[in-house]
Amino acid sequence: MNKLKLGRNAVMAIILIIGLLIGLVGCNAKTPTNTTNQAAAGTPAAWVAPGQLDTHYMFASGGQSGNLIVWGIPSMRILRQIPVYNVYAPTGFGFTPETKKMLGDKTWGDVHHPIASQTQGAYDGKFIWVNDKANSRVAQVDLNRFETTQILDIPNMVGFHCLTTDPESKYLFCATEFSLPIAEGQKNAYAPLQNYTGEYYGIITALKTNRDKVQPGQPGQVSISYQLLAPPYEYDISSAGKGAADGLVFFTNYNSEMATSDIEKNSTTLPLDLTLVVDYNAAQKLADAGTYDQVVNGVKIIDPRKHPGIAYLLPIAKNPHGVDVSPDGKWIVYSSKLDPVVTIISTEKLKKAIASKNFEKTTWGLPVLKEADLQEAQIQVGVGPLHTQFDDQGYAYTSLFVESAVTKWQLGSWKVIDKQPVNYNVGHVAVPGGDSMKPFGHWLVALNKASLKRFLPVGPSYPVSEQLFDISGSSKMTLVNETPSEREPHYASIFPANLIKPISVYPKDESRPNSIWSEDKAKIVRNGNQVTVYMLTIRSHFKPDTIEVNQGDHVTIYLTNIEQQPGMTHGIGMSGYNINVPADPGQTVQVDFTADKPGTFPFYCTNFCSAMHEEMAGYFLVKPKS
Amino acid sequence: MGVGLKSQHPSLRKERINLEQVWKRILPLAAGISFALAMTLKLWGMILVSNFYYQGLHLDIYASKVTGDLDELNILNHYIGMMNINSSLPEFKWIPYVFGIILVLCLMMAILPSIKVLISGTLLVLIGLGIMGGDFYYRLYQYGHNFDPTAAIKVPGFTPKIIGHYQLANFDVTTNLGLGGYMIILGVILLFAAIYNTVRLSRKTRSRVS
Repeated sequence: MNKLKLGRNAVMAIILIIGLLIGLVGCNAKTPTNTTNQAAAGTPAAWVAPGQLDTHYMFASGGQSGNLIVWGIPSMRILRQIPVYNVYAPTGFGFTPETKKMLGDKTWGDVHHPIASQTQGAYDGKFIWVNDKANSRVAQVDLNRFETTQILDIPNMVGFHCLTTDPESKYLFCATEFSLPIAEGQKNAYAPLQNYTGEYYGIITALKTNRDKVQPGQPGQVSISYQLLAPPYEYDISSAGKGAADGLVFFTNYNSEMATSDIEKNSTTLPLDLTLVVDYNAAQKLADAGTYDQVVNGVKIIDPRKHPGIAYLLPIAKNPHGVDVSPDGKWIVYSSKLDPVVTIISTEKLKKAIASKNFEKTTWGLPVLKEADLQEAQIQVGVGPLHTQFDDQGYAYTSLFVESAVTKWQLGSWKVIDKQPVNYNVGHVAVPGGDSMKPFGHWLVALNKASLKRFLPVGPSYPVSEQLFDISGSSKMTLVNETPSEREPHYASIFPANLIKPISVYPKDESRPNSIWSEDKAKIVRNGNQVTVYMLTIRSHFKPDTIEVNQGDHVTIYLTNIEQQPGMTHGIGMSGYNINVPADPGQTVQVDFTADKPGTFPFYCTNFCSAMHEEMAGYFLVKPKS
Repeated sequence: MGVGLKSQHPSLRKERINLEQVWKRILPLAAGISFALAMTLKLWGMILVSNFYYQGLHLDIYASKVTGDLDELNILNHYIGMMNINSSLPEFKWIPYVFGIILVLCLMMAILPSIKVLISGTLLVLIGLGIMGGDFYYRLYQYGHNFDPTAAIKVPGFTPKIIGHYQLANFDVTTNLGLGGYMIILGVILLFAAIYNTVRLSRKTRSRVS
């Protein structure tokens, strides 16, 4: 133990030095940045010839753009931006009544953790769920359409970092990053900071995905099942157990010190932080039986201090950030941000300790497990470990933020196999299926928080970077591709391409409400001051192409693109009324607005559809009030 | 052949003649089956390939319908003002009846396989097929020439080849008979074979009698 402490001091010194070096690099643009890095990028392993398809999809968070970004692997080409938390004109997101309603009054979201739906512990390619860290929201993205179908506000939580799902994706779990007081009718309730330990709470939210009730393309039905009170720490990553660890969900957190000021300094005084382990089956059983302690803002809240058998505290070395469960669930891997180790906890020992109530003490009314009894190994992976993913060959890959590197190590032997530098400051790493029971291996993407001089300069706001490693070799990882990215690419889920089966056009469905499929059905219906337009588009015209209303009328346009040719998207863009709604082939979209401005407003097709695309236009006329 | 026959045993020869009598009926019947298949199979088809439509746009003509990428073809064709291609043409109503008559004719020829019946029946079948073929060619011409004068793009008239490969604007066009089309040709060959067989048989019988 003494030896270990010495090691930690040495490591803190290394962190300092490396921190200084990073600072130097940032200050002095002349410092060469590539001296320690491979020049091997762009080797044939990552080459996807024109006309050829990528073998994998990567769904990565687009950070504060509010988008989910879909990449092709290994080419690192951006295939699609799926808007989730922000207005996105190219797909009309935020312009139709239903997407406006989804977005509400928010104009940004911090897209953090896209996770893949699973069946029997393997990616099934049906849904992505992704959180908005800033505004405590969860969204469902339908992979049949590549579109957001639900955004759910989570009450009683302010900011959460991560999302996780069980092997059957019945539930989603997340934990508040900022512990706050909770109060009926309020999102950001008030309590003096002096009362932090008594009146502030960490909140764990369990959501039901209700995925079985959702047909492809239909609105998501994710609902809140219950919330658990937790000690007022700052929660980071949540990771649902699988296999041997099925039924448990693991959380990491920092600030067991419960500091409220100078957090940078005051949250790092303890050598170990108390992380949370929750038996979600036990908690769900209580919720299903209608046993809970209070209802706040419509959510059943369970206080685990009053119901033993739900929550436990597990001490883990200094400010742990990542927690990841091995594919078979036998090992829980904790990465300690401020300690150069990952700590391996044995699920078997953990379950035994819980069953035999082998606890060290009670903190915040919760039993604290004896870490030393549960620890299987500690691996010296390098400086600033954050997150770990797994491949199909029994190897694990841990990102090292401070060291700007990825370490490959072996499960079971706990030996470090390889370490490769990345450019720079890697956060998460993503391996195909790397967080599931069925990893596919072969590729690893390092989601880096800095690019420095890796790309042509674009001014003082730098892109971040994503780097692709070929990990198919038995030992060495090889950098094969890289790309700049929107800041920041927080987390990603990578799928073999054959798991994703989106539709290519919306099927022609003549029974769809408000759709029209032939020109003789096009009409304008007035009902009082409500004007409803049943419009269609086909190369290269709108029908009707003249709409005349009176100032003050409320106008609803149901626009059906009656084409069935893949890619033949039309759209209606109208100057003066801030309208742009594209309609993909076979799709019916709705535009709703009040014609409060008199005048002549040309509208036109916003998608270059044909040689006569420019001719595809019409007039919206608003007769002034006399 | 004649030498061979002479060397055969009389009973064998009789059997051969009986067999030839059976062929007299089988051939028109087989022709009828060919025409029946033609009635249900694709008669003629067209595939238009371009850079964008790399998988090809298909147009398939059957006795009672036209299928394929009609929506897309009609959208493209409307720019040059071509008439809409769909299954509502009157041909798709009456052509099955012509096929029906042809089938009845073949059945009659199988029941009464006399030279007279066979020749007149075959002639009637050919007239029926000629009407269908002529109408088909007329429609090809009409679709390639009668353009809406208000169309956006003016093109000179054209008539697609029945079987062939050619360039039409940016499209690489291939036309060919479908299996049904070839079944019609087979049916006609079978009818001629039936006539040939019967004529030969009657000559043989005549020579035996004399």
